[in-house]
Amino acid sequence: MEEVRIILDPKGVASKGAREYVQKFYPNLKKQNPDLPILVRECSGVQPRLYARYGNGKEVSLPLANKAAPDIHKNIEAVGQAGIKATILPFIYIFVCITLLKLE
Amino acid sequence: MSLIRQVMCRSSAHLQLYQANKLAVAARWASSSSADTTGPLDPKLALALPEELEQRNKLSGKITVPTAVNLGPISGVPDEHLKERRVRIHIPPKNAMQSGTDNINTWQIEFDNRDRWENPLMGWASTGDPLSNMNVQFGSQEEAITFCERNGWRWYVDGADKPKKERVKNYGVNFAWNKRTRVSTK
Amino acid sequence: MIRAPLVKALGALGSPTHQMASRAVRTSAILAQTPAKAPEKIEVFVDDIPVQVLPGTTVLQAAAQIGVEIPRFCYHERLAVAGNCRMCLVEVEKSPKPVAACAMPVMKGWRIKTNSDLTRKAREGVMEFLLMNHPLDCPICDQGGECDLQDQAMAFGSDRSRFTDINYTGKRAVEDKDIGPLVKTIMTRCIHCTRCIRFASEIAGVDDLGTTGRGNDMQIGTYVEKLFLTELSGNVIDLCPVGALTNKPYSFVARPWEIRKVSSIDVLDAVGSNIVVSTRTNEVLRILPRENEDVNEEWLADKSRFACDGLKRQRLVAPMVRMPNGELQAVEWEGALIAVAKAVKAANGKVAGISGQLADLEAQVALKDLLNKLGSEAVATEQGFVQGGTDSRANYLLNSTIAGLEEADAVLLVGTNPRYEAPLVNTRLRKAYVHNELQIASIGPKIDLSYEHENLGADAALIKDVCSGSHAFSKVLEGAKKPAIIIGADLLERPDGGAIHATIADYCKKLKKPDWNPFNVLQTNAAQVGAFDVGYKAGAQTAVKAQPKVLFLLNADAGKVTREQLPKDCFVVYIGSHGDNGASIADAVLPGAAYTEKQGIYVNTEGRPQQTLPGVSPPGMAREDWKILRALSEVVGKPLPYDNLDELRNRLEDVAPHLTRLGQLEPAGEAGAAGASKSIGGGPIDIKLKELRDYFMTDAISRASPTMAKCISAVNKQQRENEAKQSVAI
Repeated sequence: MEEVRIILDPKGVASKGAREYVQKFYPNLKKQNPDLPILVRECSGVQPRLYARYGNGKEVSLPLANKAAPDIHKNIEAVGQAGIKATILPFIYIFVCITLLKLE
Repeated sequence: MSLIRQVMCRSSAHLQLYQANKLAVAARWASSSSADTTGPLDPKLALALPEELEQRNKLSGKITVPTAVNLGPISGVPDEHLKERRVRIHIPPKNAMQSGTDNINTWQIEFDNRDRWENPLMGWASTGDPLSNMNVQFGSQEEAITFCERNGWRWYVDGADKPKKERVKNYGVNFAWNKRTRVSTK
Repeated sequence: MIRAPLVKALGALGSPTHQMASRAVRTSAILAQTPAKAPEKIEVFVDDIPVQVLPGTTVLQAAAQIGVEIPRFCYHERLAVAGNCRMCLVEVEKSPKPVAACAMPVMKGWRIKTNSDLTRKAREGVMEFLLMNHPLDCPICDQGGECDLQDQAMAFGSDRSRFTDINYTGKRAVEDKDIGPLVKTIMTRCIHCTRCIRFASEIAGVDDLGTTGRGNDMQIGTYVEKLFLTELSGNVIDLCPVGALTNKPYSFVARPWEIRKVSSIDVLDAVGSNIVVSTRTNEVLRILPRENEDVNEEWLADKSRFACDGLKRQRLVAPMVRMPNGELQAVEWEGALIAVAKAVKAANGKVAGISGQLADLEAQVALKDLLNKLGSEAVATEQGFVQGGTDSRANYLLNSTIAGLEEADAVLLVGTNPRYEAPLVNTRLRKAYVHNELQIASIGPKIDLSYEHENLGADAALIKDVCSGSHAFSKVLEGAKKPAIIIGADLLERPDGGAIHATIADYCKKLKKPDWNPFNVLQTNAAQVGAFDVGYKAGAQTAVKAQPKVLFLLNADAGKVTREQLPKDCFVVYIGSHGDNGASIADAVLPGAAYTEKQGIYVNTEGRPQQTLPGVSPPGMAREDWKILRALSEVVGKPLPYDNLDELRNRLEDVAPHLTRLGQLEPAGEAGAAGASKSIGGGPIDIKLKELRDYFMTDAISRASPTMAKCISAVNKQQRENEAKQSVAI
């Protein structure tokens, strides 16, 4: 994984979990991965979303709307794992989908 | 009048208003008189002569066309100018060189700028673009949007109305003895 | 009429008690003035229309509220009231004489008549007097067509002249003044509105202009001939209601009805001033400010206004490839793209990109996407920043916002000179200084900020003192309602930049108020914030460290990368508009469009995305930068997934949605990087732009501008003369 982007709404209800995640989990995550850009981009009125970019410009995205902070952490770990295990896009999609199903 | 002709007539703002004039006289009088009593007074309205008011009332009617109308295919505008152009809907900026503001209270549509070149004959500006010289003014943002949609242009609104900041100006501060606003140069 | 203000006289005594006392007096005066709750509105009638206004509102403002515009010359919304042109005289019922609308506060129940016989007669009389001493040279006057006097003479003046000149003395004539290479003066045309004087002393903070003589002999000028030495001098051209002060580089160039006006954004500093580009036949003729209350009010800095002639010089008009003999040779687009694509393919992922000062967001995203697709992560901005500090937007933004700084009451400047790095941020600070009793201190070399401030010293260790609360100024910051700390972007390039950033960010958490973020970074490059927003890394060295086989320079002209730092076989590709530092080290040059030639988004230092609109087309074979990258991606065989601007903007929205909300400001979260060290090394803090002469040439466009070169030589000449005078005096 080369880059993570978390897009969230600074005020909206749907982004509550994402905001909490940034507050609680982000410092640790950054400490563990000092070279990984974890970009937090605020924009009012958007649905929170997580983008992960892997090598060669491949991107996956997950909606984070109405998710709690620990779930989001699991998601991010999942996409991080996916980046290590799979090198091709379909694999990542499948993996992420499975994780999502498990969570729900 | 055939249906097509009616539709085409409406593309022109003026003709549209004349249509309105003929069709919906009664409804309009009712609506305009009610508007007078409620909202804040429009100075132009209040200062106008009775004849002007009457003319205004005559022109203020609206026709609602129930279905979306696309004049693109019958307007005769080439396809390249319909699909690739973007219309910017905006309020014209105040000229920084002057203090007057009377000409900046309308909404305008403006097309993206295309190549211009110096004509070798006279040195005047030439262009192959018929649309970016077009300057149409509208009373409101919605009217401009409707016009663009009827003509099949892609549009975007640039710069919303911002409420003007109220500042209290005071001649006395020039001479305040204990404030930095005191002027030393004159 | 030179009066020394009492406050300044008190302050000049120098003793801290005096300063303290005067401050206390001022503060108490302000407190006494500020009412506890919003005062009740009073009703007045303008032309019999009732208007509700705040007490203290002037007649002119009350009339403006309902759209009645009273003619004026001396009154300007953003300047102090002078009340000396008398054009705004209006009749007020039961008042024996007409009143000057611009200076007279309304009283309850006043009936103001803006179009009565008396009012019209008063205006006609004033106009007659003004025209008596104003030359009838409109046909050769540069203001013709956009002149307040011309328009108002038409609207409110008499239909005939009674000026007969019975003594054959002629009209009043005044010698022209030389106040520099930017402003041309024709002083005979002056109607003594004193707008320029008020602008200079209130907004620009230089008391250079003033009046001498009185009555018919009154003159406006600098008394002894000298330059009008300020970075905002161009604004007096706009303010002048007649043609007395006109644009020197633009003189006799065009008439206002011949030009097309395109609303755009300025990119020569990071303020993102709104501008109107005036063009004719594919040529940018002049640049004027456009009103935006949140960004530049209605001012424009001189570089932004006058560097537009740099858009015609030093331009890259054809793609070029370096031949084996070392010379750049013009080729067709196809050849250039293939040459670059070959190099890129041979590099096998060892590519890097550096984005410079003037790159637009579209091109930056396209470059980053392309390089990422090629398997490279070395995509960086040319100017450095704290490593890894771009995660949170608050880390690199001016979080108090430009308009917000007006309300600040204590500001600490760390390693920045806003006067020359962002002149229109400095005007806000000055405004707060004048109207809001702002207290300012700076850490860095001694500079002239155009207002009084306390220089704490230049040692970097002072930052730690202030941030630990032990310094005297910490008390001021902590006691303030809206404190702000502004860090210069150049300062954060230092090796201990990260520590400085972290220390101040930590302290700002303590100073934070609801709805007020005191942490500010003042960027100097228009492209910087946008680049960080889309995930560029900081500093050209990031790209150099990757030891790339192919290096893309996107408008990177600051000269931070040299050939020696790169591997011998590195193929450098320059994409940009001007032949400057970047193009000179490049192996392939792909000509791009300048900011007046493309529709591109730039994000200003407070994080507000705004877009430029094309006024003219790019010269020769030059193309919009993102289109070049899109074409290149096709040749390389990794096509980018967008073909037009809309699709590219959709991509931008995926990357960071606030970037497509043009003109709107999305507040950022909290500043502070996790796990940054906090040991600030010693050593003095330096600032690049210390004096006016440093200000004029800071980027590829202004370096190419002959007007900017003239400005520098004028400033140098002035300094030499001053030195000569001083040595004579000694």
